[in-house]
This record gives sequence, structure tokens and C-alpha cells, in this order.
Amino acid sequence: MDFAIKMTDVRKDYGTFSLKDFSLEIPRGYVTGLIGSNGAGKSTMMKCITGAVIMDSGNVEMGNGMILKDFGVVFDECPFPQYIDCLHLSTIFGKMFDGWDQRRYLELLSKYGIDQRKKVKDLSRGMSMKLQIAVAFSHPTRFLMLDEPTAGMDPASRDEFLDDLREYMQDEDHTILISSHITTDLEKVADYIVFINGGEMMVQDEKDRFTETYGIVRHAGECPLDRELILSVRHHAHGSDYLVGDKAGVREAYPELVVDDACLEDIMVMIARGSEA
Amino acid sequence: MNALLWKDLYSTRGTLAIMLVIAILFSWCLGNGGPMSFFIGSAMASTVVGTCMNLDEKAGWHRFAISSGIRRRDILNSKCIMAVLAPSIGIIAGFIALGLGALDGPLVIDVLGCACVIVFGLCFGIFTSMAMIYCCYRLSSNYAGLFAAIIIGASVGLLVGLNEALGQVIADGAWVFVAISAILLALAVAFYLLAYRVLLRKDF
Amino acid sequence: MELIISNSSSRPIYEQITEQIKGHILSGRLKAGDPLPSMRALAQDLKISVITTKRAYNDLEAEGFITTVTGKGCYVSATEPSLLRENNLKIAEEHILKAVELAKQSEISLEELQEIVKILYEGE
Repeated sequence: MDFAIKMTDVRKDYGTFSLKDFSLEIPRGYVTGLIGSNGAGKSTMMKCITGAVIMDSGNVEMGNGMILKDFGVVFDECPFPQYIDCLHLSTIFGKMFDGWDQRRYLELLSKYGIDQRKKVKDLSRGMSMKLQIAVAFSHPTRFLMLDEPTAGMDPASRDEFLDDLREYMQDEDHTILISSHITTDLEKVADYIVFINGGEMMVQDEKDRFTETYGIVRHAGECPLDRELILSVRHHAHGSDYLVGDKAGVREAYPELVVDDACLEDIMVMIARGSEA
Repeated sequence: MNALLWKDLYSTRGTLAIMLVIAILFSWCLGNGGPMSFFIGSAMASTVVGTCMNLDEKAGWHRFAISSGIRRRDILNSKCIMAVLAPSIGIIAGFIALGLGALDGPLVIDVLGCACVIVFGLCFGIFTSMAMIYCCYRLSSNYAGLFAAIIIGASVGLLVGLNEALGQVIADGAWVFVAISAILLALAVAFYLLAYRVLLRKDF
Repeated sequence: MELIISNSSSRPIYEQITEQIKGHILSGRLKAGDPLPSMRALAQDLKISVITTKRAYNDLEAEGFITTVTGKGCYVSATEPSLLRENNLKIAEEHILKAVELAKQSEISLEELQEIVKILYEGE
């Protein structure tokens, strides 16, 4: 399977935080979701890909002749000139991007309920995200890089946005990298999931494999499981939680144990706040 | 026109206009509808560059621009064009002030003197703009305001304090202005190169 | 083509898809030569991962229920009677296995079980 982006041993040291030997392949034609707590390194990683942040060492390769001009980017804070209104903003993009579709841009503004005459600074958080999305969809792209795009959006808007992403993915040359805290969004739209913690790539797999095969064993007392099965453990006052990668297998081997289904959020919290067995 | 340049000009159109008006009024009030107006207008217009840098930094524009495939070099070059354009607008302010001065009575213009001051004002404006750009990239655009205040203060102080003396210098040998202008331009180029180096390695 | 996907079912989603499409084909609701939605279109409609739809279609193709024509899409294969029979035999076997396990648990003999099958088969 060919990749859209390949990161190899990327390092970036900020003093208090660093990205360590980060290697990742983002497959072309699929949606890859990035999950990690604040400060885990998601934004840094994304900026290393585009070169907004200069890596200390390592390599970023783009597959299939893709270049930065093919990127559509959405950041957690709106990067557009604050004192320009949404309509005149498009003049900048018209000059910046080849194939800018002004008609589509205006349609999207209308669809997202953004007033053309409003200045960027006067938009609410959710509205400014939608503005960035409208811009990203209004010029031909092959790669969408979305950093927390749905934060601040109401559920109906989020649903609409996910529909728009699915429409974008009908072209199999398109790839999306989306980081989000709203794990339910990723459950709905992602094909692959990458968990990041403390600047390191923890695990990458098909999204369905996480939701269908990972589980959490809840048990009080001594650890009942074979150490090798445990990915992460959290201790509470009244017992412990063990994250396992094969819940069906564990249920069969240990029929007496309580094995819960794990959603992406559960897995993320176990990775972020748990410890190795 | 270049997208970045259009953005900067459109964003600061209000500031440019205000600067223009202030420069004209100031020069007119100074009663010196002559050469010095060019100098003041130019110095003040260069603060527009500082405003551009500030706007960019507050919004986080650079990470968007770079992530969309714009080269860092092109970002710097468009700022440099502003660094030349803004002082040029200051020169226009000077001409307007001159024109207004003519309303009071017939003007006695030392053409050579004016030309020297125009050149000097332009170069001073470019120099301060480039220094501002370097300062903002090296440190942060929060200093832009401080820096601009220093420039304006110095320019006004020079102008008011040495008004008479400057008039004498022009009379004696306007070439002094030309010489200083050349130095200022060279310094501006130095700041450009420094800014280039800083920008290439900067994280956004 | 109607497809209902349940997130709360214990069966993986791709299995639910293959089951239901097979059901449509075997019951005749989908006829030989009928086009199926593309993997991506199906993923979009059902709001699931395209990996899942790919897997479902691959499985269906491996079992001979559908064929992919490159550049055109997926179509229902001509249903051979032997395919139908084979599939139903597999399902019957699964049911009988359950009966056999139950019988063994309760110490019901093979003869008793065979008697029941005979009565049920001839009775209907």
C-alpha cells in the first residue's frame, strides 16, 4: 500500500518537550486519525510534516509526487488576517492557490452559515474552524491535514463536517490526517488510528481493530493475566483496569474475568494515564 | 499582485491612511513645508511594516502559509517590498505637505536639497523597516511597537531639535545626506540577510 | 439494496455486510449482473471505514458471490445452483453442530438425535 506521508526517525527537541525518533506512515487514500492528550506531540508532528517547524533530525517523505501545494490545512486557531472580512479574504487565496474555486467558497460560506461581511476576528471558534474548512475545500488538494477541526462545533455541524470529509474521500487519491480529542468523531470517520503519547508513536492500527478487538479487563486483587497480554494498566482504589489487545481470546481463556469493550476514548486514556504491566 | 503583498497592503490600508494624514499634518504644523516633511513621512510609514509583522504573528499566519507551500524566502521578500513601499508612501506624504505649504505662500524650494532629503528619508525608512523585520523575526513582534516608538521619537526629536542645524547642513553640502543614505541602504541589506538566516530556521 | 449495520452486535461489521448481501443474492432480491455500490460509496452511505467495505467485498468475491470488473465496479455473479447449495449446507451444518453439542451435554444419544432428524425431515 503506498503512503501519502512517511516520517522516519523525526526528532524535535523543545526543551520541555520532544518528539523522539518518530516514525510513521500515513497510507494514501485513507483517513488516519491522530489521538493523544494535549502536549502529546500531535501539532508538533503535523508541523514537522509541513515544515512549519524545523526538525532537528529525521526525514519526511511525500509519496506519489505530492507537494506542499497539494495540502489543505486546518489549524486549531484560525491563522487568517484578523481584520479582513470573509469575502475579501478570498482575494488572498485566489492569488495563493492554483485553481481556487470562488463559487465553491461562497457556496460553502453560505452552507456553513458564515456571513461574508464578518471580519475574521469576529467569528466564534466553531465558525472560524468552518471558515478554514471552507478554504481547504475550495482549492484542489490531495492531502487534508486537520488539527482539532471540530473543537467548538455543535454536534449538528460536526455531523455535517464528517459527511463532507466522507465526500472528499470518494476520490481514492485523497488522504486525510485528522487529530482530535473528540474520539467519537474519529470512530465515525477514520480508517486508521495512531495513538501518540509523550512525543512517541505508541501504536497504529486499523480503527476497527481497535474497537473490535481491544478490551479492558477489570479485576481487583493480583493481576490475573499473562503479562504479555497486557498493554497498559491503571490502578484504582477498588481494583485495576488492564488494557488487552485481544478481548475475544482473553474472554475464552479466562471466562471468569470481566472483559469490557473498549472505545477509542478508553484506549486513549489507558495509554495516556496507565503504565506498562 | 502577489498574494502576500496584497494581504499586507489591504490589512494595513487603514494604518497607512492614518499615518499619511498624521505625517502631512505634522509637517504642515511644523511650518516646514519643505524638505523635512519627506523625512517624517518616511519614518512614520515604516511603522506600518511593524504592524504587518504584528498582525501575522498574532494570527499565526506563517504556519498556514508555509504549510500551504509558500516558501519562507517568498514571505521575507514580500515583507521587503512593503519595507520599500511604505516609506515611498511617506514620501508622497511629504509632497502633499509641500503642496499644502504652497497654499500659505509661494514656496522657496531648494530642489537639490529636497532631492537629497527625499533620498535620505526613503533610505531611512527602508533601513528602519528592515531592522523592524529582523527584530520581529529574531525576537517577537511584541517589540515592534516599542521599536516603532523609538524610531518615531528619534525622528521627531532629530527633526525638531536639529531643524536649524539640518537646514544649514543642506545648504552646505547636501551630499552628506546622500552618503548617509548609502550607509543606511547597506545596513538595510545587512538586516535583510540576517532576517533571511533567522527566518529559515524559525519554528512557527 | 437495504443494509442495516449494528454497532452493538458482537459480529464484526464486515461480517454483517457479507451476511446481508449474501442474503439478498440468495433470496433473489439481488440478481446476477446487478451492480453493487463501490466500496467507497458504500462506506460513505453506511458511515463506516472503507477498509471494512473492502474486506466485505473481498470476502464476497472470494466466495464467488460477486465479481469485480476493473474500471467499472462490482457486480453480482451469476448464481450457480451449486454455490447456493454449498452455502446453505454450511449454514445447516452450523445449526446441527449446535444441536449435537447440546445433545452431548445432556447425554442424548446419537440414535435419539438421528431419530429426531428423520421425523422432522419426513414430517414436513
